[in-house]
Amino acid sequence: MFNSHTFGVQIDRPVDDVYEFLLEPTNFGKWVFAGDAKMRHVGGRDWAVETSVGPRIIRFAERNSFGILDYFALLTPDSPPHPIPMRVVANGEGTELIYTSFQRPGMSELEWKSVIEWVTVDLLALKSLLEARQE
Amino acid sequence: MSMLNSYTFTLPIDRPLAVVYEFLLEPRNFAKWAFVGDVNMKHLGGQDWSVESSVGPRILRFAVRNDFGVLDHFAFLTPDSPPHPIAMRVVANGDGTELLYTSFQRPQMPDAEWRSMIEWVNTDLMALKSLLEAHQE
Repeated sequence: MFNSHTFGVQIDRPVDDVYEFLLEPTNFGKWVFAGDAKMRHVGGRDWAVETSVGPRIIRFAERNSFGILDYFALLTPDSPPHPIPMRVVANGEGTELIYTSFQRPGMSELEWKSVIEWVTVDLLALKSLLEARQE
Repeated sequence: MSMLNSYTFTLPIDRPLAVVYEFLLEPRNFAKWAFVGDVNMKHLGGQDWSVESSVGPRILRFAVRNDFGVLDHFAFLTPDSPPHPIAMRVVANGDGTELLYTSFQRPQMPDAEWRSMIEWVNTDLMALKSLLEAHQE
């Protein structure tokens, strides 16, 4: 088993809006890696993402009725997929986002702490972006 | 927009995901870990069970089997009261399981009661972890 960290983020937008935004892979680049990611469609639900920490392949979730938005990060097409469980559920009229990071095998403790800090920043960026986006 | 205070627990359980999921999917197993294991349960029909606990009667609506490890359930004070959601899910953590459990503060629940509830849920989840990890088949 791996060390894990789960974030619970309240987003003051309807759960359907948040779900649709997060389901669309091209929106990913707007909030992760400080909004500084270039994306290219590889096929199916796979996208190549150029980030400040290097290239990744991201495999996005398929649409489902449970608010599940799990995605997988791959360092190369053949590397084992690293899971990132993500889900949205209704919180009253708004949304609760539940996001779990796992420490990768071989990742140092220092690097892991840094990942948690980066994800915190990304999720706050996502919250701000969605709450500012009143349609 | 009206939102509720929430608290998400994350709990690694050193048992395979499928084992944890099957255990939690079975409503009868609820009484083995929730409310300090001091619960009488009666089947009402469908996914609904009436639960007699130390904090009074509840009706619980359990999750239907699905492919996402989702174990959301709903608590009702009475059959006509609005359902109160408890978001629960299991995901794989290597060979083991990560349990994600989100409680929401009920409307009108005083903050002291909410804090107490978080402590109770923490105790229940620790009991669940111990039970499952001791329960080697």
